[in-house]
Amino acid sequence: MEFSLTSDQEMIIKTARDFAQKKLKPVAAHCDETGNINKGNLKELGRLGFFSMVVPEEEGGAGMDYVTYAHCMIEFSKACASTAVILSVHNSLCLDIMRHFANDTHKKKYLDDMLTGKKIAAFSLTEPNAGSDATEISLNAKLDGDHYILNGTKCFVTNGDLADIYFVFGTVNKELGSKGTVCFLVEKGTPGFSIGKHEKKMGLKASPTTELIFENAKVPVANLIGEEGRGIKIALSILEGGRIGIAAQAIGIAEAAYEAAKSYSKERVQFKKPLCANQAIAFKLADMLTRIEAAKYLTYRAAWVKDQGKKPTLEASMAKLFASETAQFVTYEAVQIHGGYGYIVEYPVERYFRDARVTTIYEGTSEIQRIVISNNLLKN
Amino acid sequence: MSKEILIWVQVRQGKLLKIAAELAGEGKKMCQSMGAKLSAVLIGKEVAGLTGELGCLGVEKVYLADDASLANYTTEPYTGIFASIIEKVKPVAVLVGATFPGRDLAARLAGRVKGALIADVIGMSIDGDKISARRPMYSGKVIAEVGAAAGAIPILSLRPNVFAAAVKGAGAAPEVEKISTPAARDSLKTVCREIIASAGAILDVAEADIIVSGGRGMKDGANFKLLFEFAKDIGAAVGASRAAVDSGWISHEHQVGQTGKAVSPTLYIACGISGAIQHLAGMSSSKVIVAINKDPDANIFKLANYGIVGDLFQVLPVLREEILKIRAN
Amino acid sequence: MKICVIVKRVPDTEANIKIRTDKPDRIDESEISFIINPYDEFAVEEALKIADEKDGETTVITVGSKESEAVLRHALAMGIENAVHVTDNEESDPFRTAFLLGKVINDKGFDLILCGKAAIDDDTAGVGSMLAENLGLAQVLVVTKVEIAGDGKKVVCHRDIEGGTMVVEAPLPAVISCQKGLNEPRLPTIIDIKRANKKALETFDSKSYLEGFSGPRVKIGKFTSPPPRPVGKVLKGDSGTAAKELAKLLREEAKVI
Repeated sequence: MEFSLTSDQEMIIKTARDFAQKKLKPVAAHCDETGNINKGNLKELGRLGFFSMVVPEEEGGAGMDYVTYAHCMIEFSKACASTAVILSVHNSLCLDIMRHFANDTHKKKYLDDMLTGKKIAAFSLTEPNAGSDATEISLNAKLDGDHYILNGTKCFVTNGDLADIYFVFGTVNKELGSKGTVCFLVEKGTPGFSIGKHEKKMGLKASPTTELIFENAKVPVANLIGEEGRGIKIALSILEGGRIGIAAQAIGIAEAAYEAAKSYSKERVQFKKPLCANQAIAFKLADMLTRIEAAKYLTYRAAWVKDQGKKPTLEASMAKLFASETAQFVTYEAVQIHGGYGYIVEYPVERYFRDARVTTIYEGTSEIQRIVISNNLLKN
Repeated sequence: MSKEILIWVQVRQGKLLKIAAELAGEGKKMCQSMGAKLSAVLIGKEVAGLTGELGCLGVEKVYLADDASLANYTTEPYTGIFASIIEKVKPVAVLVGATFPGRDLAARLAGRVKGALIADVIGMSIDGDKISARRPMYSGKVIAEVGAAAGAIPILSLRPNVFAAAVKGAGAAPEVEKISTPAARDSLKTVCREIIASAGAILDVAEADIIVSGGRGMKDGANFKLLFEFAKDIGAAVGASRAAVDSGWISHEHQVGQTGKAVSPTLYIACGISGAIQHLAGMSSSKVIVAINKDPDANIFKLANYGIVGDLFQVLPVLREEILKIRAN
Repeated sequence: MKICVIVKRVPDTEANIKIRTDKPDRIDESEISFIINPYDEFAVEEALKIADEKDGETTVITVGSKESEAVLRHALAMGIENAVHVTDNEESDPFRTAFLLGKVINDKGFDLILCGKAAIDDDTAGVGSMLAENLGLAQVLVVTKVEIAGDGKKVVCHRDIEGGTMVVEAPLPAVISCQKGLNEPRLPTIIDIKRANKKALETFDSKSYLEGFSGPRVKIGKFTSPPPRPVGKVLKGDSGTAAKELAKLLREEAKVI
């Protein structure tokens, strides 16, 4: 694996960092408090190319590699984890489906607007009774002439009402199990399709998470992605990219928390000396940074394997597991170092702590990652 | 020919700027160490009447260029006049104030007479004929000692409010030598069309003795009214941190710090400013720093001579009343 | 309209500046990252805006070491068309830089030359004026607004002065130094970054332009760290009591009011 960065990579990462620090960071606390994402910033991210990061230039994208993608996601997450998850879902889940499973008609109709961020995409697999076990999905799709009629409810959809395009997974016949699953591209405004409840969450408050409600929603047959029976396969095949994105997000949150804790520990004086002069605190910082660095290299490694054109199933799961657990540890200790100030919203570690929590849950819980990892290591 | 030090006595609206007295004060000290005569360059429109005041500041000779066309500073005619004096006098040093026009003039002059440009000087020492100036570099993170190379006339711009002003004495009337105004080359003719006074501020931060400055703790642009009222009553300028300017609460000409103005007033009152290193870079050379902040751990308290951990909206009105009371007595 | 922008590579604004122990007139560059001088970014942005309106051609120039190439690439990524690198390994000195720039720019000919109001490392703000002098051009410094007027024959600028703004008209070509507030520099897009890194630069060795140069004008003796401030007092009591005490101390102890 190559550790040094090219001039392209360095400059792109610097652009991500500059944008994150100058534009995302100053409004992150406000976005968290009000539960609204800053749409001007999303538009600018689109202009800069961050809504098409890993799509090759020949296909109209920014043509970045996954290593650079991971670096940029760390930078965005450091400033505003809500913005980062919007980008992660769009880039590493939805665009991956678009590139690998959509046909030319789909691409012609939707891809350009997705690549510029003019149309943001959402990925909708989870249902109230189908979480980690996605084979249990029950959103019903019934063929009726040149349309499918969709009925059911999806939940916990990132980019909920923000999106214009939804990749929705359902089944034509639940009894067929995974062989009955289907994937649709559903446009906002489709008759019978509406946004349900907005979830009130612990963290990532500026990123909208909603239900999607389908009541005899009419989706053209042309909007079927792949074929009938391939839905779950499509969903499972793009998970690695998503896991790299969330690993990077967790690292970004952790790094922000670590830096806040470090500088606070140097400023805050108790018993006539700065906090960091106590080994109990200094050792915490040492552990925090060490784990962050380890998480980075697992993540870069997973990204690098993907860049080699291989499937980083094991690597992405290990990166996601370790990075998200690291984010729990680091944000917990960052709050601890801040003492009472860490518990009030004036200090950003309070937000980092809340934002970090979901990283061990979504895009495969830590337990699911351990299943993937152990299945892999035991398979021979 | 005796040695001379030239100072540029900047005039605005018919009055000498405070920096003129500071240049005279430091210039006089240098003259005593170097055995030189203190001369002033006075350029402007209807400024001849100011020569007496210069005498009181210890100036022995005045080079006077008085012409209607010189009412406002523009680079070319001022440089032309000044350079002609330098070429004639061969001064041992030229001092100007590190104001906007002062730095403009110093740099152009240095280019023309191939002098040693030393900008934004905050300290000076003389050893024989050698001048060693101290100036901040890297946003004040280091202080550099800078001297002129052999044969180059040092042209120094001195940061306002740092050097002790000359004490006004009885002072003999200085010798006055009139300088003709050379015609500017057409290609260089810049024209001042108008001067727009900056709205709101009573004084500019760069030249004020007292600055009251607001940061993120101001919470809202409307709250800056409190600072402007304070500034008006006390005779201060209103400053701001980058956080306040970037939030759109106040315009950038008020910004103090790395990307704003470097200031060194005698009194700097930081209200709701946490004290990020970028801000400290612009104000840490203030003589006395007061910090008012709710957060007892705010970095600004490390730098402050006096600190109040409290609500600026309660502290500032009382402080204003008290200062006015003290002054009234 | 041919527009030229002068840029410089400087330490990052947040860099921790340490003085070298072996050479006290140098800073330790081993652990700091470098950026394009922030004021120069305003100049680049303004050049791009003017070129857009007036159908101009833009060129960026820097004088400095091999590593300075990065700031040229940054300007190219922002949208500048051509880049010129005058390679020079001497310690940066405004008089030398202005001399070299004068030669290169004289050869090329420009209608407008933009630079930052100062470089944040040495903060001398000398190059613009000295360059204007070397080229025999007008200068307008510390500018917050630029308007090309008179069929591209002159420029009207707002420049900062103490207590306000001076509106200045100058004939073109002229040298203009750019201040914060002039514009908001754009970030380069990913595609533009990649394109910029593939562009060829025009490179000159400073040696070929140094004929007639009479040597540096200033000498840096040494760097020292700024003196620490004395420990301050935190005033006790409620806001009113503390404010009263403060006024008294400012009068009697500090003698500043």
